[in-house]
Amino acid sequence: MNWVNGVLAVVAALAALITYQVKNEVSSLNQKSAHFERLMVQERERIEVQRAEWAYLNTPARLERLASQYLGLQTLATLQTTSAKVIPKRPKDAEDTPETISLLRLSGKVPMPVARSLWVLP
Amino acid sequence: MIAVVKSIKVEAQVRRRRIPQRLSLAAGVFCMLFMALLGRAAEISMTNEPRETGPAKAERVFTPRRDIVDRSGFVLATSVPLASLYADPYFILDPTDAAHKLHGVFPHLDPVKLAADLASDRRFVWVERHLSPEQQEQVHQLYLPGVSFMKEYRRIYPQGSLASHVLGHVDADGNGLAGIELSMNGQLVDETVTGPLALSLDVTIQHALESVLAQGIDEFQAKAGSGVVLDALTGEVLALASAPTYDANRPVPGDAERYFNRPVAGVYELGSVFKIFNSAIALETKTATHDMPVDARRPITIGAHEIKDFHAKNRVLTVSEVFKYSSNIGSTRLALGFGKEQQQSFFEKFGLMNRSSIELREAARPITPDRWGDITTATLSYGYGLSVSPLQLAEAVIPVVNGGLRMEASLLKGGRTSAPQRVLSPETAKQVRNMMRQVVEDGTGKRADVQGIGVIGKTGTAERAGRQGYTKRERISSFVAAFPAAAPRYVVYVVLEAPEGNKETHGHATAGWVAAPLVSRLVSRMSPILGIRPVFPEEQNGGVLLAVERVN
Repeated sequence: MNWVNGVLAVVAALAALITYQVKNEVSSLNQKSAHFERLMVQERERIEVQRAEWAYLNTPARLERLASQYLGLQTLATLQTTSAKVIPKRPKDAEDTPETISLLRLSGKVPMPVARSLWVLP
Repeated sequence: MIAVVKSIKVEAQVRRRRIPQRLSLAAGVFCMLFMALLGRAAEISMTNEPRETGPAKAERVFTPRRDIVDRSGFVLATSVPLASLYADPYFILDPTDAAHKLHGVFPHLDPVKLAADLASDRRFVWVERHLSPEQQEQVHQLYLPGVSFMKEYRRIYPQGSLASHVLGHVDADGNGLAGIELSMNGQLVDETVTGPLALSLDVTIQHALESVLAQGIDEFQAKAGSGVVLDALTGEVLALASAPTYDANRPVPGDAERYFNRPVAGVYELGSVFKIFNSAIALETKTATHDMPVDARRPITIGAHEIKDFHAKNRVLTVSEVFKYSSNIGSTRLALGFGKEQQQSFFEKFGLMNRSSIELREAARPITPDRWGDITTATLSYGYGLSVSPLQLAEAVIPVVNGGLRMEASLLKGGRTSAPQRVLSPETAKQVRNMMRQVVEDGTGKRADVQGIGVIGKTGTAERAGRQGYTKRERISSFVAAFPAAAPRYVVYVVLEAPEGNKETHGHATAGWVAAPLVSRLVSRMSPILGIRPVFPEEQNGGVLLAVERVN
């Protein structure tokens, strides 16, 4: 009978030890998790501030001012824009002229490109 | 003696027999208890149910007011965490000294009042709310006992004054006071919804509208102005501007003029732009055709009123010409032709008789005529006698632009889900559009055109009712337009209040001179943003674009 008691006592002691360790581990993990939770909140707040800052830096009025101040850019004229679709392929017999003019007319030689798809409403 | 000894023996025997019984009973009880514990342990480890743990719960993230973004996600309004400074007077040792030191960090605070606050019996006193990180650091350096920081979210508008009238603003506790912040307050504080609230606005178009409007006000010395850009296919508001404007980050109390959202909350008699509706009604009710002759040779007298023309042609005009030259006489004849009932019912259908259903509480109710006699029918044909908001007018033009369907304007991305109502036949809408193109090609609105895009529109110069009746001085000059001319989709409306003519306009301050050029500038700025490709003059002549290089 004595040896049974002995074994049980050892088991009980072991169980107590393990319980203590697990408890300890859990509490330190909890602390860690709380710490990271706090860091996450801080980080999230920092992101919010940065997003606001980013939005401010991208304000159209500011970009417009910077573009004209440092890059010498102006507002587009409507006729300075076009679609890549309407630019025809270079004809084989075209001559290379270094001073190509902005818009060159070739009436009749190349069929009229139709880019009306742009005008079709969704 | 023997008997006694025997009895003792028997007793001992009995007792000896009973001890194991008790032991096993106790062991059994303990076993059962252990089984119960084991079972519970097994249950916990197997079911894996989440448990609330102390520290993690305390750190739960506080959700601030939702952001407001434009249609492509640019932040228009957001909340940032800032420190607010408060004091507990109980722990303040020397209120005068503390007030003096705090005054050094916040020069706008009154040190006497602050000292009084800090000496009070209360346990909580706000010193200053929403500190910058630098100010917070400076307060730290004071080593004052009894003052502490509290984290508070502050609403900021990173785009400054852009779209300020649409967005509105909030009070120090984060409750909406105006604009979307007010009308959508419930949704913005709703913690069950995540992500920002997306508006239909486009920041680049809004910026274009605001800068063109500001430029125009400056150029023509106008008192104020309004601007609206709508998508006629969806009813979405792409831009909505009121000038003068304000910066909600730096509110100036008392300046009510600046806070007034003119295109939404203001109502005006807008004048000849109403001829769009007048012509549409005449064509739709088949009381006129576009080439029908109308006698505009001499003024019409109704009761005590005489109706005259501003750009008098003094001849018989076609219905198209009545529109093109903005003839009041001709318009009156058309209106008397279809009559009061039709006029009323169509104005109702165009949404001119009721408050706009836009998502802003500021939206004004129109001022409708008290009595609707012949003279009212006559003056309404050219836009007097009914005061509507500029937004409402732009909304009413939508059916003409999109082929006859009424779409209610919306400030939310995606517009409304309700089915649009048919107001005009596609044929009528097309004919009115053709007339609007004539106005820009060869009528009162030539300065509104944009080469390669094509604008259609109508001028409206109204005299504002003043204290002494209608004064010639105070004008409301406006231009309502749609583009691109080949397949119009976007409605633009620009209104200037009390503009003055200048050298370039030869002193004229009518719509064709002051509002039309603003529309032209606006359309040429917006077209590339909206992806509208211009048609080159070369293409129209049957040529072809060969190369685009080195634009000098």
